[in-house]
Amino acid sequence: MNGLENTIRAKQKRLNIIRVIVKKREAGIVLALLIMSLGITAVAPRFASGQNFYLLSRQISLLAIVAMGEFFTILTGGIDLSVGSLIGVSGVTCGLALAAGVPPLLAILIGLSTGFCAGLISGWLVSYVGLTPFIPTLGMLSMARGVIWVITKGWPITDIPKEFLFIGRGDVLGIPFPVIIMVVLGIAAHIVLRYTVFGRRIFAIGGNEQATFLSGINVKKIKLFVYGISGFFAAVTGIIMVARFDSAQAAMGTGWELDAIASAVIGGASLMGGAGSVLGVLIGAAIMGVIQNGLVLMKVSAYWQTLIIGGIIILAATLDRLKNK
Amino acid sequence: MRGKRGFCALVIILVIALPLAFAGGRGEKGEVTFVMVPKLVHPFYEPCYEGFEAAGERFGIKTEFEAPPKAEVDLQVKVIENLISRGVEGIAISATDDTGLKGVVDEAIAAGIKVITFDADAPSTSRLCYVGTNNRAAGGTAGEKMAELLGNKGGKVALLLATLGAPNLLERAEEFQKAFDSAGPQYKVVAVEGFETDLAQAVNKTEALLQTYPDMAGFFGVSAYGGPAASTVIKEQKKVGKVLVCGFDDLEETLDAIRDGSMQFTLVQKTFNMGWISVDVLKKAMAGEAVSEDYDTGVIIVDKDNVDSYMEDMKKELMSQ
Repeated sequence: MNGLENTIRAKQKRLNIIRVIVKKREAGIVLALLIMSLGITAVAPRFASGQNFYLLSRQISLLAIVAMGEFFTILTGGIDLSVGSLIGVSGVTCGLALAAGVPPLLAILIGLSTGFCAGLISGWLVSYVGLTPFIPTLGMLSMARGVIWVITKGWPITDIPKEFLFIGRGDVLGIPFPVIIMVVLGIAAHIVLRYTVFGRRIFAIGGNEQATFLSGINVKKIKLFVYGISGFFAAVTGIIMVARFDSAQAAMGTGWELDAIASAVIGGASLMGGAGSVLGVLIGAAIMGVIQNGLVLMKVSAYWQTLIIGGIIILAATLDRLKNK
Repeated sequence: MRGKRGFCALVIILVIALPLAFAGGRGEKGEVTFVMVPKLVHPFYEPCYEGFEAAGERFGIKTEFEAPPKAEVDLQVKVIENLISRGVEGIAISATDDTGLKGVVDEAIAAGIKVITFDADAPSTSRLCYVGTNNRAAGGTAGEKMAELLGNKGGKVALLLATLGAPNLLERAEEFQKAFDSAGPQYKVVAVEGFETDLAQAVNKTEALLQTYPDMAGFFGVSAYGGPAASTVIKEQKKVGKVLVCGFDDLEETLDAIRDGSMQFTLVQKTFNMGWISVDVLKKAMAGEAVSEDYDTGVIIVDKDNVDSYMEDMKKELMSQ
């Protein structure tokens, strides 16, 4: 009797675990990612090679980091259109510092502060001047890019010290360093959003800003900070890119804001705010990276790629929405 | 309330005053002025303007540089319209678009201004002529040289364009493919990939292409960023010398890649010549002389041997004429 009961209980436990996993918000897109990867491997077996995964994971990590920062602003019901330009301007200030002989750590700090402060400016315009986020971040997109043009006149900065390149090109135990940075930042972001008061309040603002304000929470200060965080993450990506390419170009980061937003949305973040997860954003970025990589490996004509990528983004977001209704 | 109104007034004043503070002055009446209008502000145009300015000094003509903030045709049209109002004598345009400029070029010519294109042509407009690289010839040259470098073994080659729709890039790519593939059956262009002007995307595409074709023998960077992207990946994957790279234009990264061997050669447009000859042609047009349809300024092949001297050689050759 006991033996039978135990077997039944064990089976139920296993089913419950499966149920929990399937019910998880991210199950839909993980499934989509798996199906896509299997499909691509079937047509182009080299997709599943160790070397391809190594390269692909590094490509994805750059997008994932800036997408996580973007996610913070989307959670509050806002948006940050300037992240692409912030990647650029942070990379350029870091690059300038390095070329001027500033020690790498200090140069990194300079780059990070550039992104963070630019983000704070956008945040101030959103919170304290009261502009709707689309406008000031759109303006910052142009202003930050403009600052780059004025400083560099279009010329790239190429005197990057060799030790710095490890950040973008090195690996630890076979894992590319940028991937490690992504994982560390991802865990930190997840902990902040799920387990700190600050994080809970961000969700609350996205859910219902008025109610949160009326319950005495300093909404303005939190929103200000959230845009600073977005700028900070963009800066991290920019700095890694400088290390990866051994130069800071004036055009770096152009257009990345759209991919960052797409990653967050595919990952389940609602543009209204208040919903989403860091894991979702990472999977969203992975989907974006896998699509782009897969289409080239499957020898799809370059002219069709743009169309297909757009279609898959819409499909993935729709599936996720339907699943979570 | 008071503070808010004051703030509004300040913003309005700044919005009007700032652009004026940065605007250039007007030219003096009676002086002949030629203006160069590129697609946008970009280091590529700096040697063009150097040549333009140098020729202006040689011939006693005032020269200016007016760039639209972005490579968009409506912005370029606005710049040209401003020049028409100012009454300049000659304009050299690097056209962002072909048919989009028809109207404004006609207006300029009707106002008595001499109009030519340089670097990027607008053949359907009524411009007097085009001074610049014949992109087809350049592409063909690159294809032949790449086949030569690969030797009898031949091999597969991929092309890296920037935006897929740029006519000058398409011309180069087409002629490269024709010249390369016709060198023999063992030479084949197997892939054409595009990327926006972000180096990161170019690198991603190169990595993916090497995964797709492990026996890839070479890359042709059809626009300025393709070459450095391919070189970066080749260096990382320790394939220098095994996978050949040829680029276009002479970004600092490209020249560095040639110096360290990760790029075999690049085609450099004679940008200084473009600027210089533009002034020469505009001057001739003003004097009523006939000008030919096209001036092909050509390209020079820059490799390890002349990477440090080609710029000076180019200038010396032109100015000694």
